[in-house]
Amino acid sequence: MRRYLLLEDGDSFEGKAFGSSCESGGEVVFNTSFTGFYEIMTDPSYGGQIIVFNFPSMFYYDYSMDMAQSSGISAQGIVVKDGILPGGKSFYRLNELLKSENIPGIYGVDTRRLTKKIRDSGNIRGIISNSSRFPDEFPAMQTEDLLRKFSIEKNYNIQGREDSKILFIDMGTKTSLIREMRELGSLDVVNLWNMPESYEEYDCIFLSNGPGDPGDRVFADLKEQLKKNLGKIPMVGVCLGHQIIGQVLGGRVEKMKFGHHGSNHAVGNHRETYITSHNHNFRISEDSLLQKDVNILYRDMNDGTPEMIEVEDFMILSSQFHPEGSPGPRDSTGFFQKMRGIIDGIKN
Amino acid sequence: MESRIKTGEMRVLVIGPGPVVIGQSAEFDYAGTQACSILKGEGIYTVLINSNPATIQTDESSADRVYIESINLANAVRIMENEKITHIIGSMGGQTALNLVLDLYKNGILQRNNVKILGTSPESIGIAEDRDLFHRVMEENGIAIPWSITLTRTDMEENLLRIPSFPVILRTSFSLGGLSGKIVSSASDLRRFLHEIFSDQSQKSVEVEKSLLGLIEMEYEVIRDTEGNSLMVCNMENLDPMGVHTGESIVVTPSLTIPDRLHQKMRHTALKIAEIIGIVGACNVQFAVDQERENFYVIEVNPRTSRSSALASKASGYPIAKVATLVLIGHPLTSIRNPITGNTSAAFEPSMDYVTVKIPIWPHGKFQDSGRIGISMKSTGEAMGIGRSFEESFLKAIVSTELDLSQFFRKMTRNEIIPMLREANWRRIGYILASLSMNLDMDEVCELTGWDHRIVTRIKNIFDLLNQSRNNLVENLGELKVAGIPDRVISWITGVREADLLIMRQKRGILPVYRMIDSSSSEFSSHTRYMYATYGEEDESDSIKEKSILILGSGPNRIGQGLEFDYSTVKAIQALKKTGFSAMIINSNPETVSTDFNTSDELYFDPLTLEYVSGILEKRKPEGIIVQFSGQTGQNMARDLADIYGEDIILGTSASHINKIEQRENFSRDLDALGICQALWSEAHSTGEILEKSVQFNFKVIIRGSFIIGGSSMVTIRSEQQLEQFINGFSESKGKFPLLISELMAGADEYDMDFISDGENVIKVGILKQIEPAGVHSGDSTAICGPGIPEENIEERMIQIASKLVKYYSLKGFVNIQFMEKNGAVYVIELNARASRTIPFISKLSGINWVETGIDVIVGNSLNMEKTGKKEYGAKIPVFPFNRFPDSSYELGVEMRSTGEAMVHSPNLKSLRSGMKEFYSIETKKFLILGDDNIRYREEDVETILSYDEAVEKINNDSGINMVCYLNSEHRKDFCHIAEARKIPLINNEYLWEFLSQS
Repeated sequence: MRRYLLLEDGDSFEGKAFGSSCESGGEVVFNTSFTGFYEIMTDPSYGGQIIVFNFPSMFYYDYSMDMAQSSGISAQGIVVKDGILPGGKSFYRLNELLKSENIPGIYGVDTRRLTKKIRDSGNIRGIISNSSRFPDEFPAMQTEDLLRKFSIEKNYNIQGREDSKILFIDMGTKTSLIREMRELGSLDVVNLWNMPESYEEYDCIFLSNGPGDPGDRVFADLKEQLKKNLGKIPMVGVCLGHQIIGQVLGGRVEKMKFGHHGSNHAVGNHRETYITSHNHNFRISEDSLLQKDVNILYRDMNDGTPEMIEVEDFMILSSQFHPEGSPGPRDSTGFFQKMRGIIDGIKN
Repeated sequence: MESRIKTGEMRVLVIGPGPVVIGQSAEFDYAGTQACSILKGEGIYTVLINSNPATIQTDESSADRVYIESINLANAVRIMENEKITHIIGSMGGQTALNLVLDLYKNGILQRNNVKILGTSPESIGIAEDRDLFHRVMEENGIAIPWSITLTRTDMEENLLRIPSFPVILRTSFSLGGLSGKIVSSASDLRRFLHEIFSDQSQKSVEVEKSLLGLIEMEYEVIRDTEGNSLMVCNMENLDPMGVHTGESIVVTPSLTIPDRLHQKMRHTALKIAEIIGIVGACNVQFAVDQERENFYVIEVNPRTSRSSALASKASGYPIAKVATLVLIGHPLTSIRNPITGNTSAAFEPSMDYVTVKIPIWPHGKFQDSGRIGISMKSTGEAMGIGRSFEESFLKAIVSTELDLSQFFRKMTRNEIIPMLREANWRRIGYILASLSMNLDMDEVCELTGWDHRIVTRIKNIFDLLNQSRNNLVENLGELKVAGIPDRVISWITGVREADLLIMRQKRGILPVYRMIDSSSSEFSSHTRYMYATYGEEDESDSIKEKSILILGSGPNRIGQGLEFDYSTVKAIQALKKTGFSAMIINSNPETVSTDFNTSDELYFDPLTLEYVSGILEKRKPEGIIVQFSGQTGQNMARDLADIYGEDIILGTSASHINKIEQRENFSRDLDALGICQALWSEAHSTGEILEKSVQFNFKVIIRGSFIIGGSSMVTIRSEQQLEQFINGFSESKGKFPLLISELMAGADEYDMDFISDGENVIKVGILKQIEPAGVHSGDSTAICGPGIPEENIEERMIQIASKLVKYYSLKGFVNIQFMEKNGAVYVIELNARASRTIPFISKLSGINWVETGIDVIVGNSLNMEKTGKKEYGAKIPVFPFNRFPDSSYELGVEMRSTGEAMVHSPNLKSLRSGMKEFYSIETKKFLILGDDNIRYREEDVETILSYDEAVEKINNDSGINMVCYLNSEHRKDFCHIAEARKIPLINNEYLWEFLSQS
């Protein structure tokens, strides 16, 4: 069956249908990884987005549940080149997974043309549809809805390393981040709407990754709370968490032209560099951080995006990239050691 | 770019790899050439030593000073002193270069001359090269390696009991391409083999190692800088499981079946190993992966650019040797720009939105060999396919091997196929395709081949589609092309000619589009025109206004069509650029300089077939195509191209004339008509006629078919028995008639003449005289060249003949004629209307850029007859891979079997001879002559030994014997093997020995 990816600028891409037959819309982003497809689809940060996979042969790959980064597929839709002739176990497996979660897929698409389009004209909204007729409206990103969908429903505790206690603010976290945090302390996992009254019992506040616009008003209360506690308690963030911390420090977030999505991004400074896993459409503008005693540890080696920052006096550390990999390299797990150091620092 | 090293004061010596041998081939020419170009670009005084004349690396433009000399300690020392070398690079010339630098270091020569090694330190190299040490270091760092136990003659029995499991691999010593190594599956077999090995007194110990047979083999290409930053350029998944050397395996880049967490663990381990060892520059780490258990073992580390680096560079668009060279001279990765995009950081790992597949090329029909593949290398080159799906890349790679696999799609039976799947062999790919085009059980195919089920079922899809489509081909053609099936594969299955498929596609507008390789999956823009063809997508080959010319490359390296052609191709591209044309190239060989994206204005990495060549013609509408530098490949394609695009499309000698020359019997008739002498000949149209026509020459004949590659459809017969064998083989393989039977003339000298012509005039490029008599393939014979060779009257006669042929066939551009001379009479053996294998050799000897002269004529300028070059003597010395084919005869014949060559040059014949002796280590060391007593030797230190046992003992017990000169003996093969195994130079025929013995 034919299926179409219709874009808000009037362009369309034709392919064949797989997965669910429902219609679905979102922001179209591309990911350049050649492994970790299932980890990527299940990463809640892709909530509200349609993922275009650049790597064209992805149906040779196992889609096993234990790779999942959340309870299901987070993306709004999947666009791939592979499967000109469908078939093989991997194809059917993914087909079933997408069907059971009501996510449409489209294969046989000229994903390179699509990628170049996104690269040249910036982020664009689209709809995956069985009809080539354009809709009247393209869905806009509703950050609050996404957050309600992807963060935990009820607060809970996870027993981790016993000597520390971490407040884990789940804004749509990857399971691998929870796994990393457990190595550092016991976790009280909370969502935005059930924040604790006081932070005194915690050794650190951790802000997870997640979907949506970091400038959305849904984060206003959280930012207010954090601002009050600046310097009193260590705060650590990853991805969306990093962008929230940036704003708490007085920085400004800006939307990038087409963001960073892939496992091959180099971050570093003029002497050291690490390959890291990225998935962000927003970033903290570097100008807005100037003169705020923010130490930019790493920048993206291509476009200079601040990728890891530290404010020693405030016991703040945050990273735009994903030090936990999953998918992607874990060359920069030094981040977690650094975080450990901050927690230990307040204890002594 | 900043660097802490003051590059302006550096004088760097780069060590090349020497002659092309199996396991160390064109890929190191590519690495070294890149290294030199980077060094020169950085303003560093660059000196190169390499004995291989066939390469672009030894072109005088490669370095500030190029020494075409034997790669040995003495020469290196002399050059270091003369050139006041400050730094040396040994990581770009394979194991040969690495070993030389280690020798220079161990002997304290580098330290004495205050020469520093750029890149990985000798101590670090030692960790990677010394198996015990490497294992210890890996174990200390918690990195899994397969267990291994060292057995010696004395402790063998007790240690046999300690072996935990079978099968095991035996390793006797380290060598190029993993030469040693046998897989043994039981204790009793092991005992038997050990006894055999230890019966050779020189074998002190044997290593017995866990066999990882059947696991997936993976490779990771790593670059690490002086600051300790490192990245993975790409990974590679071998389709053939462990047990097949990675150089012999079909390899996919990047991996397709490895899940992220397993991939990341291996990637991380590879970077960690580079750090532990202390790599600076490029390094390659190989793993054996157990996918089910999600674990892996490290099996090998190459602390230098490796065979895989060239493949990885072309596959990813990230030129490893270039970036590694910048790293070697002290630039951190953070300060290096990605050479393909020019605008992104080299610290980024490349990402790919296409797949590449590499398939090795084996010397089919050249050696007596079972064709089995295993842990030692036998392939001479590789072809790579690039496509927008695995299927497309895989099939393009198959087509790029230029093998005709149509026979595998005839009705085959299960019983024919199944046994051929079980054991990896040269023809297995054909049987795998056969099994997939039939309805054989896929589980069984996977089990027998060890190939991944996911991959096999997807290829089967393609064949199902093909089988469904064959009855309605026209209608389904579009779908077949989008599915990634090349015309040639469609032709194999349907029997429709490729030219007809092309016309069908043209009518329906089903033409290839071109996509760019940019190392970033189009995340970043790139202006480098490195393209490949696919179907049904957007075209990225936006038009360039300049007039362009397409040059056909020579495809994968094979015996008879190798690196020499790539030299000429690259020089042709450079010359074309000077004439103001935009130079485009199409080639499918990932190992070479011609497929570096900086060499041409536009690089099309695609199979050399009508489909992909015509795709470029349709899209780019060039002024014409040059086929003269693509060896036999272009000669074979010229006719079809001219039929479709008109005679003018082929620049230089026209397609119809090429065709006349290539039709052997036609050519022989033309020679007769022109009154040019040739060996007596006649045609055979049936097996009966072969016999009949050979009798008249007393069974001493050369038999040829049309369109030959490296002499592979040519055979020498010396007896009735040999003829019978030939006829049987010929009938079995359903060879095509007519055949040309010509007399094998005894006692004639053979000459190889190259010249350039504009259709009227002839300018001699060079004439090489073979030392071995006519009947030995020119590629296999030692040949000399220089003033007075041949004698003046003979040369005059040759030029007269050449002029006649030039006018008769309107020859334009390069021409090569092989002559025989006997008693003053000159006979023509063969004419090739193209650049020959010897062009680079002659160009380097004379110091004249002959390719540029040829290109001038080909693009229509007049022939510049004023050429004066150096008047030096040169010798071309072939090297043979007999050590890899132990069942093969060493007898030289019309079938070319040498893989490469070395060059020696000198101002006079006498010193040339001593140079050659030096190459063979004759003068400096003790040597051994084996032969019969009919031949006398003047030199006093020649030892002639007639007893086989005595000779074997002498070679084996290290009694200072450093040279074996084989003459006549029934044990010829044995001696050659012993010599090869002990790495003792060998002179394998009496003509060469006689020549060298003259004073």
